[in-house]
Amino acid sequence: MTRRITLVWRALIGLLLFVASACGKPPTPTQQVTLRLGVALTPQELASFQPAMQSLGRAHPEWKIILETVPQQGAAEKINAELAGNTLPDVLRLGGLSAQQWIRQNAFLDLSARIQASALDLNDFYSGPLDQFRWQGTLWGLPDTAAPDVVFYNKAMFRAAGLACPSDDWTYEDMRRAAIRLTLDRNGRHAGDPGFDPESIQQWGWSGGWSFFWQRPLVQALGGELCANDDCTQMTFTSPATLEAARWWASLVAEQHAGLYDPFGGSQTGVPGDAFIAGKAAMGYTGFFAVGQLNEIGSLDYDVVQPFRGVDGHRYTTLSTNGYVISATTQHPDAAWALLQALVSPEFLAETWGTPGHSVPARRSVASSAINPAHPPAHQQAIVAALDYATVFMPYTASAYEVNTRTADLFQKMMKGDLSAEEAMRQIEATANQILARDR
Amino acid sequence: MKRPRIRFWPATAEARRGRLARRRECWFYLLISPWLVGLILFQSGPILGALLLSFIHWPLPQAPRFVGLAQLGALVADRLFWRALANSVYYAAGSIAPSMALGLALALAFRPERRATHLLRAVVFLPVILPGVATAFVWGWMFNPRYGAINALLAAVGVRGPGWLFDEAWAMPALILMSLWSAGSSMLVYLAALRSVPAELYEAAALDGAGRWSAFRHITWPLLSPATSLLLTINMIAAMQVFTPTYALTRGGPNNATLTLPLCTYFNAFVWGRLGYASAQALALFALILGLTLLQMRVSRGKVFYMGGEG
Amino acid sequence: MARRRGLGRFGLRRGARDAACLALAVPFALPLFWLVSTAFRPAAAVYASPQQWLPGSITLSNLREAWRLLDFPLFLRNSLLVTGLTMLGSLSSSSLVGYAFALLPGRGKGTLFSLLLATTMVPASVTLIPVFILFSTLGWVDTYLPLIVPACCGSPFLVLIFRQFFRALPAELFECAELDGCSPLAAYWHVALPLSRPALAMAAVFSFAGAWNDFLGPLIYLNTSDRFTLSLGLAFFQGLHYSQLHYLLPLCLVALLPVVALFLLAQRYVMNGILAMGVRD
Repeated sequence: MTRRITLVWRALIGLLLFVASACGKPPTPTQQVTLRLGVALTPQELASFQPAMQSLGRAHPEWKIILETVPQQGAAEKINAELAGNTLPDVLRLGGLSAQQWIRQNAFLDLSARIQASALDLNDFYSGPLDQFRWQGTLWGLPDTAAPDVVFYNKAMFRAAGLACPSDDWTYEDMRRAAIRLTLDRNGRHAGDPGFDPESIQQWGWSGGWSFFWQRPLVQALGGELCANDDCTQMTFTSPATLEAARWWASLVAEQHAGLYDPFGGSQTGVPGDAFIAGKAAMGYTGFFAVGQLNEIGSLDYDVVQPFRGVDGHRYTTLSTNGYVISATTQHPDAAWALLQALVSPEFLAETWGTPGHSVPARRSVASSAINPAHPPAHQQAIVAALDYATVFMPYTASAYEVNTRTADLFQKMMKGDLSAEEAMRQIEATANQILARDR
Repeated sequence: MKRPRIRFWPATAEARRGRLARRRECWFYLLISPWLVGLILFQSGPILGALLLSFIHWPLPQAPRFVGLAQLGALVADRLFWRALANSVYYAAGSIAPSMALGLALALAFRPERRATHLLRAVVFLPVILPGVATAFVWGWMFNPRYGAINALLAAVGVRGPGWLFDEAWAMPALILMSLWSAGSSMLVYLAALRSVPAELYEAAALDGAGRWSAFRHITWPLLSPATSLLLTINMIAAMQVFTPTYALTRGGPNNATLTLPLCTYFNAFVWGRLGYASAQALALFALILGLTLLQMRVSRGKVFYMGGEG
Repeated sequence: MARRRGLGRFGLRRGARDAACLALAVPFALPLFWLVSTAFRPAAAVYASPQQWLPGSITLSNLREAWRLLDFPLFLRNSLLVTGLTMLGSLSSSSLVGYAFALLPGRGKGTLFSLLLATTMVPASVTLIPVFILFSTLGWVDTYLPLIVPACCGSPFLVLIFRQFFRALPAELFECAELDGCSPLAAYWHVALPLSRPALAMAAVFSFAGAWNDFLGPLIYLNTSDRFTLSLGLAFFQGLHYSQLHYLLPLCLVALLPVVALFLLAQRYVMNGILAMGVRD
């Protein structure tokens, strides 16, 4: 008899515990939405991003977020294949320069209506990165990070030449004067010296010239303009102001030898890759990624300033940006939009991108989170300041890449002095407009 | 002494119609069915689709449009296409024969089966299996004009090395030189083929007083002719489709000096958004490779000697 | 009597010949030398210009850090699984198909063989997306099936190699098998396959190396990161602007080891086969 009662007691206690535990759990959502998020990150960025995604998942139990990672080198092939096979993730993080070609294939959702209906403050986003995702007047994505090109300079080289380091007030003429003094041959003579030997240059003053087709700010700063229409599918290279700019750069590189006609190929420096990062040039325009790379290598004493003032007193520079888009074939557009908003929220950006130092958030409220006084360069505010006026690379449609490949030799000939600026500009304009016509 | 032909393939048409022959034919189709199934299921659709796409103009995002031969005609007028074609042929012409000859030399040198030769064979084969991601660094530094190993070796013999991958005129020769490092795969094929050369033939030749070179010319080389013909075919197809070195090292530069046809096709398909045009180029490349292969097989037909007789 | 050794018996002294062999192999060792020399340097030394031939200081920390940054033990296991299965499928089907092409009659055999060759002449960049569409319609995306199953249908280059090898075999062997009442399949299993050790070893190395280094296939078909292979994992160190060479190079060295191990094993397999058959070297 006692045994039976013990059994019943045990059962009752067990039932009570079970009911208690069931009451203790939060109510599980009746439908959990599975969202696929596709990103292309380096392992270091993933190390910040994955924990952030996990806490985002915990904060939103109604979502099941599946993170799909892809190496940056293969991202284009993957997205093209997924687009063709209709297996794009719900939310995709894109490198900005390739965004336009897929936007124009109607691969993504138009976000303007949703943005207006939401509490999102578009003014908090810098206008340059936003432009990357605009087409036909509406927004097709939102940027999360941006990296403007600023002037990097080698402090040791300036010290050795006895020159004052660049400041935020420098113009292109200041740069030209300094670059000539900083271009040194084997015997230590600089480019303005009568005994200078252009065949044995060891160090260049300026890392580049006008050596490929995308360097629109270099022309704008000197008073010219390349784009003849809004999305730059019609270009002009032969206006007087642009020709003047072309001649300015050609004389810097071909006549004064103070710039490189092959700044990335390595035929002049002997090493491939950016000449400034390789320690062969005293100054150059580079992006935020160079900060991480230079600090990792640790052998260059460098700092940054804002891009030089142009002839009209304004500054011009390019930026590269990354951002999120929602696939047009997603089954859960509302949940995807909610996820996207979370991913571009100021807190998320500061915590995942700014503070770890991977990239500069594209929102004014948290852009300075990327500034870390603990490591060089000293003048990091210049990078954040440049976001105010930096513009995206243009043209940015698919055939722009083809124009680049087809005109690369023309630019180089012009910078070497083998082709006159007029002739080079004429041929480049003809090629560019013929190929860009496809995207008009 | 004439060896009898392999009798699996009957000599006369009458014999072919015999029951035994028909049974053997059934076995033939049965045994190649893995390949046939794969061909029908996985390859025929995509390949036909890809090649037929060359007759369609499909500038995404607009709708596709049938244009017949217009795209192929556009190829003819395209300066970049002809440059890519010329570069591909240049590479193939320069790289096939030397790497095969080197492979043969290596196979002969490392023919004995000893631990030491096994290790040396592995060393020689290693550049073939180097992961593509390491290619850019390793070869970039080997060919660096100022600090690299190649120019250092040339300087040791008093020759001033050129700019290699940075010089328009020397970039393709650099890639061709690089292909010599892949001689390990030819070596492997020749090693396997050398296995089937019977040792008695060499003994007989020695008894007849033949020298080393004579033995090579009259025994080894003819008996290796099937392997040589096979390697010619495989290497021709592979050389015309070379992609990794051009993509990882030069991206077609400097100034399109190393832009090969496969790379140009890749750019058109994945970067410039011209799928139909890329397919047209693929069709042209396909036709070229097919033509060259047929030519090569016709030329080598009379020269290949099979120990078991012509099959 | 002096030991015969192929061509070597015609007069060269063993020492000089071995020295010549070593000299021949030295240029091929240069890439490996660079890889080993740079893989264990500190980061600053990896990016230095000019590159020093010998490392100033050796450190394993880059390899350790890289190994931890992504789940490389998992990637290694995945690679071994996928590559192993691919190799087995490829070897069995290619040797069978090669045998059939070499020794059996068939109507349209020549056409079929030309078709086999023709499929290798189409550049991969234009078939990549159509094949992906095919496999995604089958629902095979994010599995290993698109990587393994096509290999089990025969790889054209391997078929060519086996075909050429079987054609070079003496006819008497198969005639004996036929007189004994063997079907072609039995002849393949009992006669052809045991004799094809060299070809099998070579084909194993080629197919393993090809699948091991395959990057595009895993990139396109695998979505979940715990299915990733080693080649895909390596690519994460190649960024848009620059590659993290100080992590990439030591990992490449580790990635090479299984293929080299297989190569040496395959050589030993061939050697043991020869000794067992009593064929004099």
